[in-house]
Amino acid sequence: MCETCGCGQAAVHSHGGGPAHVHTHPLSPPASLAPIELASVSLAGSVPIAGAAAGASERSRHVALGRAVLADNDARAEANRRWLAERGVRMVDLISSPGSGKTALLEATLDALSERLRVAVIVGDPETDNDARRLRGHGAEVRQVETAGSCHLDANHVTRHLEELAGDGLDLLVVENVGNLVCPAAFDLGQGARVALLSVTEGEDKPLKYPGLFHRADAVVITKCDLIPHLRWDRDACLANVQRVRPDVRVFEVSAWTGQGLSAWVDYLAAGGA
Amino acid sequence: MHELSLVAAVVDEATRVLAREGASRVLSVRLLLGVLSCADRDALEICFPLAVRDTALAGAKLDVVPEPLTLDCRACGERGTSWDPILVCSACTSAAVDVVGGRDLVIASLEVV
Repeated sequence: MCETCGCGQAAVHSHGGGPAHVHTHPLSPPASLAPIELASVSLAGSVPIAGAAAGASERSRHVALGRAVLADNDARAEANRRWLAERGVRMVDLISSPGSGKTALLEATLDALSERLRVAVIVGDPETDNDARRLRGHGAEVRQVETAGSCHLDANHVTRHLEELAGDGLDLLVVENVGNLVCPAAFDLGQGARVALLSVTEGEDKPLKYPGLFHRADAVVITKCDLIPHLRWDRDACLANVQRVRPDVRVFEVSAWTGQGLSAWVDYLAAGGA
Repeated sequence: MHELSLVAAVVDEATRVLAREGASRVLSVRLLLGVLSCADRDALEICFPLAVRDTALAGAKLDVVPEPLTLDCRACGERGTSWDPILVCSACTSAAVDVVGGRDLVIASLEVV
């Protein structure tokens, strides 16, 4: 097979229905294939291409890249991170499945936080500003990002709000990401800490099912702990599963309703996840 | 389902590469899909033809190559690979491992003309 493109075929060949595919690296095609395939090169490979010269430039070549698909987003996130660091603003990104209690946890903690710090929140949802309306009145500036169906926030969503939210001085920027355990984990926003929330009704094996998120988490918050008496919740199994994908990560066990565990969580958030 | 965003980013990068390389079309794209990349192969393959329509990648073939997790163990020094997203050394079972591969979705190579 061709080691460069991995297509499993010989040096000169065409892909089903597509344009001819010619390797410029030296490989000999099997004799039985060569005549046919070379003929197809001369036909399909001669499709006129705007701006392309004839002859040698028609031969395809492989360009090795090794570049992360999200490198542009990563660069934007890094710019956000520098912008925030220069202004002494800490940023925390909260990620969980829909309904695991991100907004309730923020409602329960923003009052305590905003007594100590200047806090702002960016909240992302596919539609509605319901969460922003819930979060207002707790002492923090709140901006809703309606992603119009998109399943995550990216670094540009944050950039658009930075100047307005943090330009005049801010201590802590909390991002409540779109409820989703997969996609938001792939997008660096420029946060100092990424926090994964997991409610006790979701099951102990969530970290194993969604390792991409839990592996990238700087802290894990187990929410709705007041419900444990009504559930078959295996705390040890959950903690062990967290450890398997993210060894030594910090874990908070909280209830936004009863206040259990909230003071340690508030201290962690106030420090920007430090 | 953020794969449409991912393949749109592939199109952006490939378009820049074409300009840099003095080429005009992309014939194929090879992606490495890491175990921890948070992307789904089927969704990438469904989204790709939509994202390349009316671009210099129109008609390009997409090769998605799964990439295992590569872990360097800080305890025993072993480098191991795993298709399970479990961060444990396959040699000594220590959890003191660094992820050195299989974390991202990477554009490995482009075939251009």
